[in-house]
Amino acid sequence: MKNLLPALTMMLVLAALTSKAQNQNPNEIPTNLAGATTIAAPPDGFDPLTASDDRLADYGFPPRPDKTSMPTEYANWTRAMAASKTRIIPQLEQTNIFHGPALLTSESNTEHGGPLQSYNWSGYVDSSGAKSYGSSSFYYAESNMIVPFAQPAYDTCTGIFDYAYSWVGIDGWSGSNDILQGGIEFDALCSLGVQVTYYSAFYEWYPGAEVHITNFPIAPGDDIFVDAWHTSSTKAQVYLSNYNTGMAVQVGFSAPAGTKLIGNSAEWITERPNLNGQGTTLTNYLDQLFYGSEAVTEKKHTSYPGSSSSKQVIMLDDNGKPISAPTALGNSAFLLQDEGSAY
Amino acid sequence: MKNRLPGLAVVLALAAPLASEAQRDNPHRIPTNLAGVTAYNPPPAGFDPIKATDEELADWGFPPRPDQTLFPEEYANWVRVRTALKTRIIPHLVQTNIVHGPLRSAGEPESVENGSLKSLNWSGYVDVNDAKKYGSSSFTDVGTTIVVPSARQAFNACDGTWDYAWSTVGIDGYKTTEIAQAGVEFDAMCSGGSTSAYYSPFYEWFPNGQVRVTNLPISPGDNYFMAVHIESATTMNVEIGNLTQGIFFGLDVTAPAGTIIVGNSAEWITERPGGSESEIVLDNYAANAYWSATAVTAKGSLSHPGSSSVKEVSMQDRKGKNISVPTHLGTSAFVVKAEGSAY
Repeated sequence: MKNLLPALTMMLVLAALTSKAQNQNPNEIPTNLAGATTIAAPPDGFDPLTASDDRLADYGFPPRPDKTSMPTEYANWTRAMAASKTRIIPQLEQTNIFHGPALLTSESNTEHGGPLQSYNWSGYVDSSGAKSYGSSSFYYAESNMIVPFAQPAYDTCTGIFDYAYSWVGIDGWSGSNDILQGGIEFDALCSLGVQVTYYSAFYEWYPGAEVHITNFPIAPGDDIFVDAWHTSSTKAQVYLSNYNTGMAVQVGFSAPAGTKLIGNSAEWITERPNLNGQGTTLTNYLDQLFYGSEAVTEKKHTSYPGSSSSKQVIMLDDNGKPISAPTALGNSAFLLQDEGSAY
Repeated sequence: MKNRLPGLAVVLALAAPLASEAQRDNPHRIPTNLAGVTAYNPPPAGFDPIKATDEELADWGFPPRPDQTLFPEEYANWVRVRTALKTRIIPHLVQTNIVHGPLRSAGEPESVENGSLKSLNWSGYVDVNDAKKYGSSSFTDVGTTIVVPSARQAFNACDGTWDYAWSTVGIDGYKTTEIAQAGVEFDAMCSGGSTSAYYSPFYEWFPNGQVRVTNLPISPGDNYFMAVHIESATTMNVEIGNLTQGIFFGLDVTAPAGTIIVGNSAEWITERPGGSESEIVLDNYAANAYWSATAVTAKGSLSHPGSSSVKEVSMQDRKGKNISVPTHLGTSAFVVKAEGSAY
């Protein structure tokens, strides 16, 4: 018995999460992308505010924060669910764009005081201390974010696309090489004086590549809720809701072959990705507001961008100059502002 | 000499560049298409507001520069705004018969629900002081950056009429009947299933009606800077800028006949006009984010929406239900969310 007990404890802790992965959800339906599933709208009269946790999971809703211990987070979740007027069946488009782990400067790797510097991430990262998938692992990460207007740096017109992504994610920091993430993309191109922009919702489980959700409209000024969570170390879901349009979408997907979630970090990030093996140039997005940002571990420890254990990350361009820096707005909100060669 | 000293002291306290402009003939001022309102010519090529003297800034109609040592965050924001706003236009003005007016309470005056004052027309934050007349303790400056929201009618409403909302900064209007304000308007209409929206910058010195500025571009997702600067008890300087597009204007307005500034409130609010019997219907803007929100008195006291002297205001419909509620994001930022019958 002695040896069984720790394992049993672990099973109990994980039971609520893993059971969904093992019992196939009958509401899951295939999408146009192999391996990705979705869940259609719940029946008329279904109220996510009063539904049981199991029923919420059956219909693909993100986990509900505890009303008593996390009233602010519960209120934010309630608002996002109330905004989910129309659940769509996602049209998915596989890309070759990768949003990999944080690329820190060599100076940052020593983690001496002050913000850390990265070539691809800007925002906040918290660590759970998990060494492997278990009760300390992050369970979900979520935030609201307002879609910025995308344009090239002022007074530039280079003929190449600039890219920016705002997302919530788990892993990709302190040794975990996968990232489960969901969020929004806002890109800009200026060519011969003509400006073009591209906006899309996306999800990704790195080292897999980004998947666009092409029929979930997002536009500058829209307020977006995004939640990424897992149901096992190899199964995850992303849920997005657009407060302005009332549309919501859910996608279920599996980790790339050989990849397992660790859950040792959760992050709220504005990023420039890697395309065809090259770093991209960052969109001039001016200001990116994140609010209602939080992450929760399996054992219900809550993290915020403002948590004492969270790290602030500034993005540098290829020449080592700052281009995107966060400022905390209280505990659970922050503003990212671009500068330097991106501005 | 005895009698002159108090007056002199006030002038010094107001900081000479602010008070003297209204009285001095300024060659850079030019008339607009609206009688009594003057604008400023674009400064000459090479003029750098960041390096300009305080007097040069005032001569060219720029809002005052925060003290770099005393107010480093506000100074940094001022530099960011001045860097983004490159192109000054001469505003084209259209007088309307829309009047906004002071705060109107819902229910009993000063009645509070969940820590918020209840109002029929305002939502946001109001800082107050005890100034009885225009002087050193009066608010002279109020400003913020916002994201222009995407405006729609409430979900499930498509009634062929326009709904309205304004995001503004202002001085007075809480304890006084007059109010000097500037901001942006975002209106929405739905008819036969097709939607329209209207966006415009504006200023108003109540009891005069709102004046729209028709040649400053505005779209959802644009970041807008807005500032009201009181130059004397009967003149204000307004600056509104589209940070995303780098275009702005400055103008000077004289008070309506018989109206003088007291300066005992400064506010950052999302609002709707109304009369004694009813209000216009608030549109569904989902979320209206403010940051770098500041107010300054003539003697240089700085406050933010999160300052202890500030009152929170929630907007209600005539049935006593909340329709627009603010939430702090740290000290100098907040988000106002539409709900209830407006959402």
